[in-house]
Amino acid sequence: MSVDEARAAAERAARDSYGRLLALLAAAAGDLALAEDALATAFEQALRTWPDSGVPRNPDGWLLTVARHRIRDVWRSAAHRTSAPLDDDVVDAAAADPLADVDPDAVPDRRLALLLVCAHPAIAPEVRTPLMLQTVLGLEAAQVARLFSVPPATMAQRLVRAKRRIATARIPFVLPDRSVLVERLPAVLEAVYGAAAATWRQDGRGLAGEAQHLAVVLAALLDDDPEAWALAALVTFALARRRPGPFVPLDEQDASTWRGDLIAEGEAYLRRSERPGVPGRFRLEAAVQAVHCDRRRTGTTDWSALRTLYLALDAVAPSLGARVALAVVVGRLDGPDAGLAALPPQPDPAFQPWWAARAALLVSAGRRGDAATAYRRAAELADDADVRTYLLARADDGPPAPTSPQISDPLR
Amino acid sequence: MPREIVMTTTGSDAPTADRPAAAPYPVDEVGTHGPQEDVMRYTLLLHYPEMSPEELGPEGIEYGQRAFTAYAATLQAAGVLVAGEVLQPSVATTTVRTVDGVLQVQDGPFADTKEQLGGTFVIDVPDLDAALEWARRAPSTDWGPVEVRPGALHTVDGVWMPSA
Repeated sequence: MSVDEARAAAERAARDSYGRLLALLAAAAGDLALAEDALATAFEQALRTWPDSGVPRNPDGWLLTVARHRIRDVWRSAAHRTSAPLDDDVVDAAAADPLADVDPDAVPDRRLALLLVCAHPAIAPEVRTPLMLQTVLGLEAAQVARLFSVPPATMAQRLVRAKRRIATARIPFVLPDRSVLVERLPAVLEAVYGAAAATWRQDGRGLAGEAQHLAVVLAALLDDDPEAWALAALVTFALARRRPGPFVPLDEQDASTWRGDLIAEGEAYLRRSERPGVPGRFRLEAAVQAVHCDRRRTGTTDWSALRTLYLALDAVAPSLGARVALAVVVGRLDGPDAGLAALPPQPDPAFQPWWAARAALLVSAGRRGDAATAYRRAAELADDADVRTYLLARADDGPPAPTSPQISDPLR
Repeated sequence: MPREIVMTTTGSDAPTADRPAAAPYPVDEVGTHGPQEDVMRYTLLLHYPEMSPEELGPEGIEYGQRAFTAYAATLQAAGVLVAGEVLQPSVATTTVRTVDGVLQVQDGPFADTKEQLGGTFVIDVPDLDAALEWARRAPSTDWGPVEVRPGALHTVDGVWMPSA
């Protein structure tokens, strides 16, 4: 087996099982940082030995076993350093290894327990989502820092402190009672949503699929939580429209290339989220996505349905993004001047979707010069290279584009 | 498993605001303590506004006594109680501290705040969720905050032992 093949196998294992293995190791050790170190050691060793020995039949089991030994070694050496004489009988493998009973052929999924540890009320709210993104989905600290517009060193320090706190205060890795589960759910939903948005444009790493999988697992576990099912629907619709390559705005996407199976799956989840009464934020966002996805079937977009949904979203969960999106819809229904009037005042700090929406509305209004300036400003603010390329191309466009303003879409 | 083998003296870190430089033992915060044992020691620190017996009245005093008696009995029955203290009001406190390099003895509490430390309960429970559940049931939660602090070390017959 070549080094490349070994690397590919390790990367597959990393993508598919990182969160699962980490959840299991952390639950046993009660210590996220130690579990991460042990898992990193296991992956390093895999890259070193698999090229010669071949990829094991069960890579997960192999990685788990190595990581487990690593944890035991750390415990053992800590004991040796500090207490002498040490009776060997005391440190027998079973006693020092709470993972001894785990069958490496059937690694149980403890990711939800890990998600709930990260969302524990004893963890500061602002670090819960970053912690989940790093541990459960395996995002690097630098990626998480970028997503939250925080310097990498600051984010790394927050993550280290949170992990230390989990170990020191001994936050348990368990699935809590239903009542507690419901209490802690909003933070978990928020993190999964954040994960989907963060990973959306990353090609070839499967993280968008992983975020969707997590959303569905979470909803299935909770069974009857409407917002959990709505989030599963939202993320699934977004996955259905996902395509690699250059950025193409929603309006200009060829709906026939969207995946019908995933749209049907999303619609099924959305039906499970339906309840009498006021819909939640994720149900409204999922309904917005459902309206867009319906273009695959009908060939048109129901703009007035979108207006109703964005007005409701602005009432239930006001956000700058929703108001910008509403202005775009208004522009579509009532003309660009009405759209520009509906746009909220220029936000500070600058908000990329606001500038992109304004640019597109100005194009529709025939104000090419102003539009080019706004497109350039939007391009400056874009953190995605493909989006930047698209916006700059628009700024240099000659005739007005035939299409209308872009909907602000967190899951592009 | 005996506590000795999970003791660690490595990873000693710098003194922090809430831990004196001369801690009896370096404490490893990073958590490489070893496999979790069944229990972990937490101290519940009950803070509440101080009220004189006159302000409380006979009924208030009796209510407080009943509540604390019931709470201690419940902790004892659950097998988690290590120690409980109800403290005299902070006017009875004397504080020893260094002022300008000179060790001084002064009347009054360490911090002059509306809520004062009024009592402590030391409990042995499996994890933070269990400790929080007991804190929720403390009789003083209506009057002030309860701080839940994991233990690092405690003495047994004069010898320091890890609390987890």
